[in-house]
Amino acid sequence: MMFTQVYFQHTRRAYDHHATEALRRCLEKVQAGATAPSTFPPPEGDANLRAYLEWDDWRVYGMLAAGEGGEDGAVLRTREHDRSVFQTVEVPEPPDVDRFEEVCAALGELLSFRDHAEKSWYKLADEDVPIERRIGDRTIVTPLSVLSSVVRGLTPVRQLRAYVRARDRDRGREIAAKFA
Amino acid sequence: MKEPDVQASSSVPWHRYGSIAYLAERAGGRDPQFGKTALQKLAYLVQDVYGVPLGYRFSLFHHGPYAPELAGDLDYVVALGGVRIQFREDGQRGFAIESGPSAPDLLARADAFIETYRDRLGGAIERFAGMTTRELELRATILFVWRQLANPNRDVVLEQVQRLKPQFAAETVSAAFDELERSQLLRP
Repeated sequence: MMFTQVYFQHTRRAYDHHATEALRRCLEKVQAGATAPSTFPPPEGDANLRAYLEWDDWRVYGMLAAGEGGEDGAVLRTREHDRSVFQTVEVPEPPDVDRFEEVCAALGELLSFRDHAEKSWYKLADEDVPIERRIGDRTIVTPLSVLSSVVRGLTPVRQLRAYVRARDRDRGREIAAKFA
Repeated sequence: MKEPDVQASSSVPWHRYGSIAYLAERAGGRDPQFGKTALQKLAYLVQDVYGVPLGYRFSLFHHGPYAPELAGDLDYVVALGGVRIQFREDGQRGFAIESGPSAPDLLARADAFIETYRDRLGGAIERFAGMTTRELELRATILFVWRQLANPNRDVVLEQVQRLKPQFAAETVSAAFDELERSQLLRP
């Protein structure tokens, strides 16, 4: 499905993580001493808006090329992304989560980050999709999830993944394999 | 005062899932029906008004304060069997949330959190769980608007809520505001 095979694909998620952390490092470097150095300037006042607009691709790429993105910036440059060594099923039961925690504990310092698929992939708005139906003389509104077994069957993906640095991949997999 | 850190150090927010199971257990299966919209409003009141740190970010939607993450969490709790949701075609129509077979497990995983905030959760449930969804919607909206304003006062809040919720009569909005004020819930 779209969510697990594209948005939550394991390599794509690794690069989401590296890009986020590298950008955070760049922001902190430039905005050291600010109230919130790791976030973009808030959209308040001309000075902040100008400062925000200065954060274009060229600036970020330049900082990454100059080695100012930290370890994650280096990963982006070398394409040596972190590797997923353990993952739960898409809708983990509590025992699956417990096992995941055990794996993370066993990985110890090898663990670089944990990824969570927390976004619900179907319900994006306040309500279900309302469907108007006529039954005899009456018009009633019924949620799509009641009428469609396909939609009703969509459960939220809450998969968990444990990542290690590329250099630790074999050792990480070896540890995780004990919990498979 | 600093809140105690009782949220699990786990990768998943058990305190949220357990709280959903707890609210369903205490507020579900009764009349008026406890549905998805009512859960959203009650969770907003529990978190932003009673100070239980569930970690949701509420915005104003069609029916008042709403957190998309809560909708996702509810789906997951349903998948885990912590609550059951049925759509009722008769009577009040709409979704009805009730406690599910796995609720005890989720409650146990959130035990420290629920125990710490039991009084606040209980206070919100006692005051609001007996209300209809419309009554909850109105009160949650009044509180949301109140808390968004830098210098809130009765006239401004009533005017804004009336504009947001024209389906409610002015006297109804005014009465709900007075009720919240008497309950000392209108505070920053």
